[in-house]
Amino acid sequence: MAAYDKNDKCPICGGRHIYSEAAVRTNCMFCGELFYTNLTCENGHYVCDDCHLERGLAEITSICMSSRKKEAISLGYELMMNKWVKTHGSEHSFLVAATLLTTYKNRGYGTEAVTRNFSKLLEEAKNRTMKIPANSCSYWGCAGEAIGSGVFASLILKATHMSAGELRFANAITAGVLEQVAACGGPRCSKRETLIAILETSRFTEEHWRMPLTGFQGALCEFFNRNPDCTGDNCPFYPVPES
Amino acid sequence: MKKRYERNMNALTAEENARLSGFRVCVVGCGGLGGYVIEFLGRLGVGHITAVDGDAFEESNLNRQLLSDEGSLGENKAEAAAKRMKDVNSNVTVSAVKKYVTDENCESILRGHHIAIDALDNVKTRRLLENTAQKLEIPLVHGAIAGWFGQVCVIMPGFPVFDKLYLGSTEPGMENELGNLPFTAAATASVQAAEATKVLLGKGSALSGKLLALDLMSQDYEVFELATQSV
Ligand SMILES: [Zn+2]
Ligand SMILES: [Zn+2]
Repeated sequence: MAAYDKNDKCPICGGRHIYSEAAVRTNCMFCGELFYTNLTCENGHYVCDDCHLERGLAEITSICMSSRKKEAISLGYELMMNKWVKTHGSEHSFLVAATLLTTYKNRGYGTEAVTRNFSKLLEEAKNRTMKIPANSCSYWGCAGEAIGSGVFASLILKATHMSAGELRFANAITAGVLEQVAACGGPRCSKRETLIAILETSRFTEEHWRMPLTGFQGALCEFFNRNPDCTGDNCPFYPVPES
Repeated sequence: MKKRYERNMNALTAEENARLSGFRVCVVGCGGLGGYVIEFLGRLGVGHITAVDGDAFEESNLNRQLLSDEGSLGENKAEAAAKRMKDVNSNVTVSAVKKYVTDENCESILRGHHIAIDALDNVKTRRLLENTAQKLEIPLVHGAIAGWFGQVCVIMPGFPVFDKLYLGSTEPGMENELGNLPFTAAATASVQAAEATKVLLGKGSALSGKLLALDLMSQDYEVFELATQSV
């Protein structure tokens, strides 16, 4: 069925979406399969859910592989601005893990092995975050972006060999993110959850290991226009309107 | 049991057929879809139908709208529905509401009906209808057509669907104009009438929370689950 998000522009041509009263049969521009949809772009483009997600993940991977950014919020913004990343969606769990891993590497915190095996590290982060069920926030009571932080922590702590003490850190980071997500309430927002995950993880790594991932304490959302469910003033990232 | 309902028998029990006369159905829109739905439900024996439409027939309606003919151009569509049902089945009362549904009147028009039929032609009014039906806890049978394509969904109280189908664009939507064909209207209206009948008789709908997409070009008919919550 419909593969587009509210207010998202067509990722192929930037065009607006138009609806047809009844679902029409349309080919996906990528895989060529036939789908029924009520929404296509004004130039007839349609990309199915699976292809859209796959392309989004590939964009995140390729940007992170070449990025020199040492500022996690700045890199997170760059990724969220990418036209293949939807307003809301499961790609944000990977986006969080990839942003944190990339900044961690670029700041020189990791061992030489982290840099050498970085593409494998990203691949593993993608595989793990893509196992998070869709709607985990509402159906499982656990925001996927928080697990993105947990995946980052467990990867840098070499999860498979970690001691009981280290395991505590990975869970503590996820818990810290979830606590703030819970405090915000309101309809889910992938942008808000992503910013919380990046800021809270950085706060934690600075406090425990003197390894901050961003110099920012907060951020101003630039996506609220795309989100009809935005909670406005109730969101910590909602820009204060100019008076 | 009236002889006129003899051929309903076995498909319906005499008791079910008798119960139909006690139901009140609100059909919103009396054009391509609504005209057929009213015809089907009236012939079947639904007791009371409220036909709602503020529009009058014009020549371009003649290709598909059952209630229109060359002599009725300019006539109100809801009025035409009431007039026709007098000839088709005088046991059925059709009340004509010669108004467009608006924010102000939607609730008072819908209240007191056992089920509502969405036979509209624009997403804005469909959303209003869904919201109001949800508020009043009235099941709504949605139908829409575009060219060779049709779709039907039964929207039960507590399970709205239009946010998933058309998304919540805040800009006024642009519509993909695919025309409207007579058989697409009749096929889609048939499915709507069948589902409405089952919901009324407590038989349950096969399309509750699901979307049937009809494709009369390729003759593909697919049913999709509509998730009750977005990502
Ligand atoms: Zn396009
Ligand atoms: Zn595809």
